[in-house]
Amino acid sequence: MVRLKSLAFILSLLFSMSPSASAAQKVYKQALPGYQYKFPQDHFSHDQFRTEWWYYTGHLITEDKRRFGYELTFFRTGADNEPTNKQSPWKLDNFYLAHFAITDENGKKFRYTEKLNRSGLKLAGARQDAYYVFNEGWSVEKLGDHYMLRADSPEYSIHLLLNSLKKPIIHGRDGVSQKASCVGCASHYYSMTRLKTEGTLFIADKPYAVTGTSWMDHEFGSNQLTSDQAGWDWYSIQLDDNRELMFYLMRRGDGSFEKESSGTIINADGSSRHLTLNDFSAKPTGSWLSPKTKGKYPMGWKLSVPSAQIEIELTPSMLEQELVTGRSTAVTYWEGSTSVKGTSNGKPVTGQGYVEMTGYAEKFKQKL
Amino acid sequence: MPFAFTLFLRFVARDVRRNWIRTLLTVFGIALGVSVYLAISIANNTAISQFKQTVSQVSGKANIELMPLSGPALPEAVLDALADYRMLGVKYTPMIDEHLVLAAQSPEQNSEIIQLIGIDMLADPDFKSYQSDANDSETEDSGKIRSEDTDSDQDSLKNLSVFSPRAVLVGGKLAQRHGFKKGDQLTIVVNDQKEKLLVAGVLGTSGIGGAYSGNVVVADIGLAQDILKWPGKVTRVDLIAPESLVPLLQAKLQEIVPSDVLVATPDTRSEQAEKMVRSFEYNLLALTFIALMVGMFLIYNTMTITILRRRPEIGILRAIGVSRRTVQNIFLWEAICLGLMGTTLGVVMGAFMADGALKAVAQTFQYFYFKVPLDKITVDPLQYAAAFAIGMGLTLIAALPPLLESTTVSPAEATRRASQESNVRRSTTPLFVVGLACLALCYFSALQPAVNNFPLFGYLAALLAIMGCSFLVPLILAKSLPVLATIFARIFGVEGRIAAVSLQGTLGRTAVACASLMIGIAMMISLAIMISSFRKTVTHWIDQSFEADLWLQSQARASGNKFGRLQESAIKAAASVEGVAAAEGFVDRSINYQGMSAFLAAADFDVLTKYGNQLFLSGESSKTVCARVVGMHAIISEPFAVRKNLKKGDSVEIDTPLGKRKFFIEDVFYDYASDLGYIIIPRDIYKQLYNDSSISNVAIYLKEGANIEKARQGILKNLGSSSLVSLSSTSELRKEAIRIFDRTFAITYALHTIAVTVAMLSIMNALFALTIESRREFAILRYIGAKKTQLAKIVYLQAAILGACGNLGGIGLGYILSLLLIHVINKQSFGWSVQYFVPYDFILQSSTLVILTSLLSGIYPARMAARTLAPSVVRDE
Repeated sequence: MVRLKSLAFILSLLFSMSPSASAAQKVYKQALPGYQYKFPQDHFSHDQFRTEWWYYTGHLITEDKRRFGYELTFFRTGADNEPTNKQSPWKLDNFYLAHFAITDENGKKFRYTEKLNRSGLKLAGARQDAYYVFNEGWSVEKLGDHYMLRADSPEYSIHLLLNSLKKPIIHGRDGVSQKASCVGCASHYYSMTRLKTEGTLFIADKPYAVTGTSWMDHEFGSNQLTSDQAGWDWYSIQLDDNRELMFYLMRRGDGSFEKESSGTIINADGSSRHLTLNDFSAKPTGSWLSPKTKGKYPMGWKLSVPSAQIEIELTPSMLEQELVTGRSTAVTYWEGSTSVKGTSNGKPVTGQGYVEMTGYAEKFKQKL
Repeated sequence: MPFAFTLFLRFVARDVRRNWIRTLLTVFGIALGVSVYLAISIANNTAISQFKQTVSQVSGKANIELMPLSGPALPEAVLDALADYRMLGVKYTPMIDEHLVLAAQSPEQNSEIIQLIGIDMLADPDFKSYQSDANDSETEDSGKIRSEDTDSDQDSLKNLSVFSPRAVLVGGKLAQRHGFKKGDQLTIVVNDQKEKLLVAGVLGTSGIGGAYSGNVVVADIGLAQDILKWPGKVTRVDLIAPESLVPLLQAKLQEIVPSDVLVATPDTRSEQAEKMVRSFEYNLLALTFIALMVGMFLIYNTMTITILRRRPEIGILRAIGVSRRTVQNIFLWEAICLGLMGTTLGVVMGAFMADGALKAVAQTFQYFYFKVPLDKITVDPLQYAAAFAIGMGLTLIAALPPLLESTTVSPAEATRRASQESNVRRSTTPLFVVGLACLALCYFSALQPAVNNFPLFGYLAALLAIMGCSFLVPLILAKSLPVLATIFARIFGVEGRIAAVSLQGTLGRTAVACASLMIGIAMMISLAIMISSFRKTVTHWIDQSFEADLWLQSQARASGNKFGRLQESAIKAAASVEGVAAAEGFVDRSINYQGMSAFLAAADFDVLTKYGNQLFLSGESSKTVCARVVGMHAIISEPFAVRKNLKKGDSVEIDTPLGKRKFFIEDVFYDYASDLGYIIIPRDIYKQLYNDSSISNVAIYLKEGANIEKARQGILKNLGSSSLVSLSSTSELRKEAIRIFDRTFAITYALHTIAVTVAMLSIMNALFALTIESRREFAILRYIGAKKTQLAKIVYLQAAILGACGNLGGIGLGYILSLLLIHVINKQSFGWSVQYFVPYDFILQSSTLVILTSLLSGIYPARMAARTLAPSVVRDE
């Protein structure tokens, strides 16, 4: 969720248009308590909110046991103003962005690509009446009980079929995931935390059958972030005892954590419990200096959720999983696959996770 | 070979140094030719390379382009047809690339033309970055569109981006000139309206920000369409396709796009631009070749005279056993030294003159051909190398005949010297015959048609004329000098006779001097005739065909944006004013006709029939021709007819948005406004075909006796104060047309001045040579009792004879060259019919100048002659 946030904030900065008398300002709905989720409709696009994203991360394994992590994210962000010429295919009402990253855990290779489009040319879009989000050749759509993901890049492509083993988990309280104390500084946020995954991974155009597990986040809101927030750490963990944990820590400029930072523990039976900042602690075990951006990231973590009897250690599958998305979101963040080891309910446990960290490299700049 | 080297130093270098004035003149003559050639070729090259650079900066890595044939833009709907090709790895993006008038931002400034580039700000960075900074590949795409963040704490500025309403990025150069920074407003003129844009950032110099030297405004494509009032239109679509697919895809796409869209490679645009300006460039280069040729004559002259003079010494060298080859080599080295000095100096001078040459041609390129900034020369080392090679090459060619001559000296000749002159005298008749043959070939060559619109035979004819006339000179001099001797004897006494006879005695040198003088003068005269004929023709044409009393156009067009338009209602607004008899709407657009840029225009022929006065090639009256231009009929301009080899009664097929359309050519009209050519069709047809009712200008005809000022006020009032227009009277328009003409010929005027300089140089050189050569005679004359003043008089008379002969020959050759320039070279290059007009006043002035210069050039030689001491020279005799 944090990840979403950070990007959302950046997106809103990036594409905000200065209020002008000549252009009518768009009014977006705020994410307020009391929101009632309905599926599959809430998978669809919510254009009445300014910012929205669909986030897939997962761990894949080929038949010859090569391990890969993947991230495929679709973003939508609405413009500040009503388009002046609604007929024009160039009208600016929604921007669509997407990131695709692959971590070759055995080969220690990390590759990412990004896309940025407007909807007018039918090169990108997110339907409000079906779960179909696409950006050029990348897409996610719901087909029956399955979700199909496609993304291509010069080196890697994925064609994956996902099947959710648990029903969607709604984060936060009363339908909102609060990001700061102010009213509306929140989003609607749910996840599918255990998606059985199979399909094909193309490496240099050569197909490899893969299986694995994925995690999906979908979040939409209009005003989640405040300007004194410096960055976010987000953890999604799938334990082998069939429990999952999501937690985000919002870091303020002064180094403290936003007290609204929170998370969710999902039990094997699909039930879940909201976690607050007090329920959770994360201690970095090391750090990594990005040679590319000179950002200094914590690297390796000890996570502890005493109320859920979870004590685990996260080890990144490789250090360099940093995305510098100059072209689309203009944000630099680290989003990487990690392996998990520790105890759960007093028993040894392993698992896998994805961690996202933003705000460690130079403060994002407005590039466009 | 140390001996030869020592010999060279003693024998040649010392001589060169001793005759330093003549050496200097020769060197300077070569230098001038080389420098003019280099300056012009750099200017030409800059125009094309700037165009290419702009193409690459704007079009990025595109390897296929969709270009409009029927106007400046194509419908963006073609993008739909491209979507299917994405699967093949084809990327594409549309683009707008059009002129924009930046209004005067303050009262002290003028409005200026800048470039508006509309791109899909979300498009693939491959389309936008081109000159990526190699060491910074990671930030390549952000580097190409880099907004400089100003230190603005205000939120409104922070939030300002290219996606904000009416916000654009401004090129660095433009921003610098006007002090634009983020958040500023800039005012533009679109058609007849002023509009405001917001500066969202200032571009760096790489990629698009460097295109048009940074004189750009870059906007998201939707906004660019808004600004230009071009809904749904784009200038171009750039595609990046896998290299292997390009030919296949090009053919396939051509099938699916509308017929008025051309699928081409980006080179096509540069090729077309090169084709478009080729005539203009070659014409300039050809003029510089005349300067080079005079330089060649200077070399030839100097070398020939040197060798003639030194025959006895060569004979001595040969007698003491120096081989022919060594003799030839030391003179070859002399030529190489002269060539090296002249060429090197020429290259240096040319480099300095290039800026000036570029300034002189820049506006012509920009006005007639394409608007790319030409404020800085593009330095291409190849051009310097080429200029150097040409300078050295021509020097050696010019030196070749005298060099061969040097080897014919036999040891026995050490004591004789008359043989050479008698040789020349014997060959005057064969030379004369060769000359006549050259002139006959010249005539034949002049009648040949252009090769690919290039007057190859015209240039050949000019060369033949120069050679031919030069070969005639010896015999003419041989025949006329004795006559002159008799006449001069009567007028100037014995000195007159001696002057003429002595020239006769040294016929070889006299002929060479006279011929080089002739060529210099011919260049000057022919350019003068050409320019004045052109000016006369254009003035006459303007007077005849600009019949309307007032001309109305949008301020954008008046400021130089050819696509600045007015609403059609402006015609009515003008016509309804009291005192106005009629108003005629006219619209033009650039089209691509058979791979060449041309203009398609539309006029209200019913009004033209009544009031207009176009001049037609057929000689028919404007009324009769215009009355026939209805429906699918057209008239075409003479340059268009010449370039496309069309004539009255043919038909012309053009690409329109509704497909190909054929127009019957009613007649061809004289036009000097553009060498690209015009097709003019009835406006009602144009409106249907192009779905365009806007107009470029309105010609307003007043009733007999109507007050022009009153009518002007009335029209402006009718148009309303919000409409920014330019309403000029015909006399103002004529002045403007003449101003443009003069600007176009600025470079020719400059070359003309250089021609005069070169001509004067050759007079001086020839006289110096002659005087130095005549020292022996002068010594004898002194010996037999001639006074110093008499010797001086002889020199002055010789100078006058030489100047007069060269001048006469020059006028004759100049006449031939001017005929070739006007009726063959220019006609075939540009398609303009020019009435021949001889500026007698100029010829009179220049003749006086030539004679005066000749006499002035005689001052130093005359003094030298007067100083001649008898015994020192006569001892030899």
